[in-house]
Amino acid sequence: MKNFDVIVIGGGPGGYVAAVRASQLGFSTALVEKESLGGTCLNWGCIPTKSLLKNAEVANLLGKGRNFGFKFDNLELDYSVAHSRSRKVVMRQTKRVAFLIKNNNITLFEGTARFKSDTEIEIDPSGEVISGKSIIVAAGAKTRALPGAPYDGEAIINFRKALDLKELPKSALIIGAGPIGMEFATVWSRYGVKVTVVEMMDHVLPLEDEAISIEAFKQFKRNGIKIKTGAMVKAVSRTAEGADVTVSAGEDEEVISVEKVLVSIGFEPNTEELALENTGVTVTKGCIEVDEQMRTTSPSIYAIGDINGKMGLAHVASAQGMIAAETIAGKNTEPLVYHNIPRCTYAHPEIASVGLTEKQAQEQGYDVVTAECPFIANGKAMAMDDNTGFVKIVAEQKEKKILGVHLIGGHVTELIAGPTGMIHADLGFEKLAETVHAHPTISESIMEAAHKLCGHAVHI
Amino acid sequence: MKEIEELQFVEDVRYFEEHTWVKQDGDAMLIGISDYAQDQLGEIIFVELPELDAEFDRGEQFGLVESVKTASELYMPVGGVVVAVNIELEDNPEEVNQQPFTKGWMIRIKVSDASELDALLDAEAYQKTLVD
Repeated sequence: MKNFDVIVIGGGPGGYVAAVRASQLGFSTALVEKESLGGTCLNWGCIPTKSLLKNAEVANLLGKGRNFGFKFDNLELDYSVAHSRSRKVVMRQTKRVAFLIKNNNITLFEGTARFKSDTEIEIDPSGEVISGKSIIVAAGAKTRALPGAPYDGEAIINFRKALDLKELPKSALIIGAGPIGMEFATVWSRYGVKVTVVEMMDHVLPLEDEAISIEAFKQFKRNGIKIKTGAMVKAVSRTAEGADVTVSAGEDEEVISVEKVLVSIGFEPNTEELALENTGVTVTKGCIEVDEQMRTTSPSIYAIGDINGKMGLAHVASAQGMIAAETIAGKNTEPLVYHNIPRCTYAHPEIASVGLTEKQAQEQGYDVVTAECPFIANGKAMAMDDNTGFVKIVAEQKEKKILGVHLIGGHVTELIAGPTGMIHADLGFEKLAETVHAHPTISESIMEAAHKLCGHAVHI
Repeated sequence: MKEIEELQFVEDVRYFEEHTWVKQDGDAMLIGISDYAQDQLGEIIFVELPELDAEFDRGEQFGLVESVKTASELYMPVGGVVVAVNIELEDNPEEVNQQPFTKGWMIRIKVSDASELDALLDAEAYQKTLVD
């Protein structure tokens, strides 16, 4: 039986990072992957969606002839090319991960892992059993299905199927106005699909600061996406063309007929297939329980990424993977402060935020003060013909700490790293205001909002 | 990366300074990159090849090769029209690393001006350019 210092189950952004780090730390490392290296993020999430969103951006730009001085007849958009480009991008990145694994001397096993004990796993279908002094579980999550509307891969689909489409439907209903739902709404509507989004909560992107959600709703609707908030899907029934979806909002009920229904209501951890009952691991509400060092209740087993339910983002999985590997090596690690991890939505407009929302800050008893700086006056944003949205800083008066930074507008996902750094280094809004930002950039508006908090904004 | 002595400099192709080679294949010619080039690039992940019927001059860029550590433009050793591309490289770009002069061929062209072949280097002359 092959023995390893560290076995990692799952080759996604959590697993492959943990495996590479473990190997760097001198451990003999194995990685078990049942499908594709890179996991959900690389193959069916982050990466292909960003590729499709770029194509959608180009498609959108081609409609702006009047603004930019061009015209032509017979514009034809070919979504199948957008799809195939997204798959090529995925393939190139998967190859990179494969080389990372190879060049770090990590032994790759293909198959599904099942625990036989706290230190042994059996790999399906080969039946091989391997043992590890430490095992890091990074098996990810799968989409939650809507009760009463099981996926059929045709009319009722999830994000995986959505990314596989080589042709778009004429109409679609998206259940769930979170980042994934709104990203698909953006791509599809830009390619001419009639999109309706149904969201149970009162706001789109319900986890964002309310001011952001309200602006996002306005912009999405301006971009031609129909949205119903505070609305529940009561029933989904198959029809010849696709499906009839019964949506109720308060007293009103209506039936919306579409070709495809995309269900994007969240994920649930892949804890079922691992045979965790053969270990000392504790699973609560489907998630593997972990401490701040990613240790489970079994001394040899760690769990990182979506499967521990802390925060379902790829960069969180990677950060947790580093912590797990370093903990196994006996190093001290800093616990993650989850609300200070940035989260991004790549729809149009983009949304990016880090830290607390205004409401959360108030609930936590801070002496809250906020400042907004709209992009409408920002020179770079105007020059790029993309000046909707704003910066909102949530801070507290006593120690001038930055509690949260919330951005909505063009390119803001690239801007959030700066504020994330300032919060991580605990550098307060006075220091942010003092930090000279390059001109002309959209990022200047962040500095301007900080100036406003200091009481001396110049441009607003 | 290998030392010069460890690299292959096959004799049955003509070399271009930009590390591509050309060789007769029936009534057309094949183009690829040298062993030196693939070795410098490292593990190749992706080869971007032109469309069929695309026409390029000698020295013009016809494609791109991407490896784990960098990307490199591909230049025509002689001018011509693309009549075939090696579609194997789509799924198996590592063929370029493993067999740069044979299975790792990239494009097949009809040469526009045969006299341009005279300006190309033989194995010895090409190897000399690497040492200088």
